[in-house]
Amino acid sequence: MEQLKVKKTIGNTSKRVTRSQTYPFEGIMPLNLKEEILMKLKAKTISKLILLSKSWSSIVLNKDFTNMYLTQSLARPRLLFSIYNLDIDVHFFHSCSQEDPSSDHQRVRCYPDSNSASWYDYSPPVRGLICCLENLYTKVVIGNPTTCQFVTLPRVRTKKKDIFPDIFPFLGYDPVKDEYKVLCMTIAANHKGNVVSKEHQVFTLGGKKKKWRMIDCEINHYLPPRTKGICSNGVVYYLAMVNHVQSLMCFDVGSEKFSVVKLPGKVGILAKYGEKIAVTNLLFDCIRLDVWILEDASKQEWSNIYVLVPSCVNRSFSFRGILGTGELLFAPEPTSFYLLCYDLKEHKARKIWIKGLGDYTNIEVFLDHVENPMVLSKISFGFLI
Amino acid sequence: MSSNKIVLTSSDGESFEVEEVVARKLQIVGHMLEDDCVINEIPLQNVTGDILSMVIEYCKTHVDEEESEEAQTKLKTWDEEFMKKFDIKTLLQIILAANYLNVKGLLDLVSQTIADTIKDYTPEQIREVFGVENDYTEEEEAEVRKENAWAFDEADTPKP
Repeated sequence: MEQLKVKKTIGNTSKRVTRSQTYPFEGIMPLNLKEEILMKLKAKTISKLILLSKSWSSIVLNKDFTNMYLTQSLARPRLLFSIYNLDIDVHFFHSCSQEDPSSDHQRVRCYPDSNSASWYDYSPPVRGLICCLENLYTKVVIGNPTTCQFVTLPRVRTKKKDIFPDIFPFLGYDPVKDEYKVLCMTIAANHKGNVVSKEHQVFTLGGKKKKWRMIDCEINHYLPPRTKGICSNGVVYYLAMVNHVQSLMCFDVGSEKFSVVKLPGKVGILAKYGEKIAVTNLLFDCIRLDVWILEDASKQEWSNIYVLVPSCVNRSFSFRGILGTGELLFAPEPTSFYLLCYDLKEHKARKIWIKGLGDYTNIEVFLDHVENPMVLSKISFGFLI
Repeated sequence: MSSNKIVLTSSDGESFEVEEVVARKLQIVGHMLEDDCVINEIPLQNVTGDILSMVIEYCKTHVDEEESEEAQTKLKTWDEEFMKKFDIKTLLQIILAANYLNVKGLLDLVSQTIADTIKDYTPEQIREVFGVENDYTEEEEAEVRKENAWAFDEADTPKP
């Protein structure tokens, strides 16, 4: 290639170029350039920029920007660890690249409840947001484990005011209306343990009405303690007892209608299988573990794959999802510093070690977490999202 | 590929004669050439000579983008070294130029470098380098800080 010819001599660009004059970039920098820079920042850093000025704040809080950032994040799924250390009463979220767990580690300390760090039983993340119950188990907390912002929703009301009900919150996302909703089931039992009321309520995040709405559910079902839901393609799935038979409950987030799918057998674990839903049992003390994948909820169709359990397995593992490589991911129970990846074609397992988690008392791992820059500050008042 | 020469002239009158294949890396030039192929001198109103020379240096290096892993690694190293030459204010001028001249690769590279530079800055430092006027009143700023205390709480967040 021919050398660059310059009619006027230009400076030697190999030395550090500095321009001392201040330049009013703000006035001439178009929105797309600001967004271009924001897209390359971590979501935690982006949230700090609301303090720059009103116009920067409006870019950061803009729904279109959040969705553009989320689209980028969805292509880079992460492993999310919720870590609690009882000795020092500290709670962290630690995340790393799912494709290469040795890279891109991030950690934030969080305070879901200002009174105590404590241990929270989080639901699996939905587009980067999670939910749990606050310390007294009467209010639902929505959190963004990337920015470590937590917002408490209004108290869940029940018709039986004299009984303290069990509350089961399920976070869902409707991709059609681009709307997040929390489904909450309350089960109240009297002092003899007999269930006296079951109610379903919905809270729309960012909705005009800042309160829970009662909805009807014609399917008579109960939930075992600590039931968690999983949201995929606008439907929240959870395991429940329907007429004394274990079944898969489906809640359509958009239409707010319930349906039920018959399970292929008795199962203990519900997980995502890519975009699909899978059910299985703990991997322990068996030679072969079946994983059932829901192919078509309306036709109640399940397909099946199986794992040949290596003879060296001497503890329980729970199925957590599928990696980009097609390997199945298992986490030891209780969760530890490593995960097990299982190759279905070769029927071989390999361990991956997660470094830098530190000391902990309790640890939980989630797959397919995404960085979401969404600010929830006025969520309960319906201003944002 | 044609070895025609194109002269690019900056807003402050500096001229650069470059091969057409290099000039076409600037999409703004590429579009002009498609509209009228006899142009051989192009005035670029929104970029000064010192910044344009850096954009041209980038385009010259990236003119033959080979796909081999070795070539890609070499380019990546060159990009990193190239970016190290500039302070944040120059980077901001380059990003404006890359946007105006429509050089996608450079836009990506500079925006990533700016993001990496400002990630640990305080809001005050970012305001200063971007020339952002703080239009919050004292009360409003205190309110934003209070309401979003979670965003500014770095106490126990170790640096990566």
